[in-house]
Amino acid sequence: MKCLECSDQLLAYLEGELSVDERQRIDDHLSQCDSCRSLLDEISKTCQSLDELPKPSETMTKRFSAALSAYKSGQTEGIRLLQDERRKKSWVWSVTRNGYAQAAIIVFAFLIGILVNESTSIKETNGNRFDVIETELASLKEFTALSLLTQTSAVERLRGLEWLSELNIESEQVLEALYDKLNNDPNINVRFAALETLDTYAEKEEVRRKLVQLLETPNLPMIRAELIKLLVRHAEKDSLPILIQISQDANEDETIRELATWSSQVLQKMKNDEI
Amino acid sequence: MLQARNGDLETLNVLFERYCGMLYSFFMKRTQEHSLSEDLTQEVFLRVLRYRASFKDDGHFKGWLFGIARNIQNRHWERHYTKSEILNEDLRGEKAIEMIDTRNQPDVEACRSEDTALLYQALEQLSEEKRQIVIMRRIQNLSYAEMARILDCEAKLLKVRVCRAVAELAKHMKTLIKERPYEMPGMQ
Ligand SMILES: [Zn+2]
Repeated sequence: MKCLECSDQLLAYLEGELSVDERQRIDDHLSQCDSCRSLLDEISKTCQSLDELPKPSETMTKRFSAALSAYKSGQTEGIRLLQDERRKKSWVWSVTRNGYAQAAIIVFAFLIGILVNESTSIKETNGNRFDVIETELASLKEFTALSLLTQTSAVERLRGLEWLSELNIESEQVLEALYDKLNNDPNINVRFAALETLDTYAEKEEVRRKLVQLLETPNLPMIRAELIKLLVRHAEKDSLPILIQISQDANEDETIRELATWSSQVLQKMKNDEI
Repeated sequence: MLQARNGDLETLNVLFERYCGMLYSFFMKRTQEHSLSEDLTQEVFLRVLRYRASFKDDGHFKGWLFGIARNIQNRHWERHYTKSEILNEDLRGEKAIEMIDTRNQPDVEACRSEDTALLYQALEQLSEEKRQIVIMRRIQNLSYAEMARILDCEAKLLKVRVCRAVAELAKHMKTLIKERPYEMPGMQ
């Protein structure tokens, strides 16, 4: 065996990707060739360093596929809506009785799609193109994040929440999705993450009001405890009545009762100080 | 890519498989944060998805892709910088420090070692084709069969190519280590 042939197979040799015969031939050559041995050593060291680097997670590809299908279904949905919109107009209806009109509508919707795309490309060449891109991306991302929340894998749902908290959009749809995750998600980590995300919106009064309401609905004790802490942290005095109620409820989890007692005292004190 | 531009969204999945590792490493070199790098990689592809219509097919898909990646990276730094500034001003005290600190843990600590920076630097000295296969095989840990499917070429050939690329990478590392006293690694 020549050095060139040997050196090309050293990685496969290290990785155990060679047949017994091929392996034997490399072993034979290595036993009598210093330079190939030192190359083997270098390749092995480099591989070790590469192994120590962080790896992208396997779910990264899956996540992108999920985003892609979300985008796809959103696109079809968009075209359908557009068709419905057109159908409402009477002139379209009158033509619809002729068989080909259905096709015409689809072509029409398609053309509008192209026009929208075209105008985007034109704007892109302008100075403020980044703003346009950012806005559109934000809605695309919101859409994707929301659709991730409906995935069966908890990891995907967590990633959806992570995205939402990063995007920091104040849409009703997002908030509703978060309340829903907080109360109904089968995975406790997802519930925690939903609460954490809601924490970033808790500056808003309506969000706090909703969270006080949610305190009246059943949830896991750990989540309820975090919810109470959140409300105290945001000094939400409107939670006082329900907290007092919880602290006196014999059916409540004992830890929750203690926490509610303590919290209502803190809030009461804040209230008194204000007066 | 022409297919993807024409609306065949499945093609984007294949492109993702082909380039996500390279983009991930691109961002890891620059941000040193694992989950951030994954997110930014995803963001690049969302842009490809949204703006595939504006791509002119002159065979420079990779150039276009990494152009987007660089934009996103600049954008991220800009935003991150402004954010910490605002935090500093608004909250001043403990909370601000706490929030900034959590961003730099623990991912960053783990891989900010000089050797890692050097390795990423050496990786970028490889040609794109070589970098791609080294990353796929040794960072993404894909099998040769999977790589053969994604890249549409023979597995046997890939074994040799990756081996040569790793040998070259070893050489680059050697040179960089020699130069180390004169040039700080990880700097661009
Ligand atoms: Zn030899």
